[in-house]
Amino acid sequence: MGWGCPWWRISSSRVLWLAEAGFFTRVLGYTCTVGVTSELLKYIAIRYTIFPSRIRTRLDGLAYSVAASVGYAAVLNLHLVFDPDPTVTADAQRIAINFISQVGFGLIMGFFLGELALHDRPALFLGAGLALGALANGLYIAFRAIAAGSGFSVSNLNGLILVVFFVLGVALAVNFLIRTFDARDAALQGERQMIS
Amino acid sequence: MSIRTLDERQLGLRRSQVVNSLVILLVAAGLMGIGVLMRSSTLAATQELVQDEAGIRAQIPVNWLVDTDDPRFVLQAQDPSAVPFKTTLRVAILPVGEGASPRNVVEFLILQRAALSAFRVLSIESITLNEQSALEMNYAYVEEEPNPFLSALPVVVQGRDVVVIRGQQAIVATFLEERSRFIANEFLFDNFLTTLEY
Repeated sequence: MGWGCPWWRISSSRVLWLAEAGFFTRVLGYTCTVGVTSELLKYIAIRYTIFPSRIRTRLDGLAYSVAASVGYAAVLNLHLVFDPDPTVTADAQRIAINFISQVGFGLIMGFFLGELALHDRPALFLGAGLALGALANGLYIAFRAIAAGSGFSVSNLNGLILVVFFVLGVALAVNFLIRTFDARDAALQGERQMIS
Repeated sequence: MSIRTLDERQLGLRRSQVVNSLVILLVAAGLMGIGVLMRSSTLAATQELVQDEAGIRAQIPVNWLVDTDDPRFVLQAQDPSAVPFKTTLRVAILPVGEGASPRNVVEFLILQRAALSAFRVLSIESITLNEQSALEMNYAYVEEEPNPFLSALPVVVQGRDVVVIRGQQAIVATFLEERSRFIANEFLFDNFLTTLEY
């Protein structure tokens, strides 16, 4: 039930609206806010600069996406760098977490962009890539809150360990997809050569 | 830039790439729309609070702490996550004599609240609540932590009382908030008053 008050009248001081929500609400909430924004910005950076002419293999898509992700993470970290009251160790861990996570999730968008640059794909192909990348962001942020508060102490180190495993998982999945698609392309080319 | 790259650029995007470029924007807009809706529904979500004995019904934000046992008021809801002062919505009922006006009740409230530290009345205005004449009093005081071992700084609290007469009773709706957040969270009290049934 709601008051029906216009959403713009919601107090700006209550910005931590997802922190108190349940796990699945947090996943969906972070996916539809932070996740989709970050992945869309990375997509725009690639789409309106080098896409599709500079992408000649699937790995090109990943490489450009990682470059865009590094740029995004650098901007994301600016507020930590210019924090008037910095805590060196904690900020260094946060910066590392931001870089690793953004580069890792950027691989998803990179794969989809690379694939679309090389082949004709259904209309929802890139949209699915964006949604998947955003979902990975949402899942990671929701799990990070659990990881950071678990164990004997609340520490960013737990978040750092989590992000390494998370990104490893994403990298392995993307690697599997690229190998599978490359093998399929090679098989198709082989068939064409045999026919011709 | 090489000649080959220029040639490739002249080829432009394939049809599927153009379609995908448009669809991804729609997907992004859709997801962001869901995010905005989630945020507004989470922050504006309310629960109904009913006090049958006093004949009071109102909507308060979800997950607020509700107190109906204190004899000083009929019901009170507080935001448990608000720091340093818990945002408070409160309804009290005072017995009044026949012919009493909201002005009499406000004067009584001023006397009662004078015990608060650094209490100051900021303004008293006539308003209309549910097509009934009411009086609105804005005031401020300093809230101090009673436990000296906590070494907490005093907090300047801004309050607003709305007084309306119901037969031989005066309904006093109160909003208390830390001074710097008062204006930003004023809408909570506006919504509370809109849904208040007495």
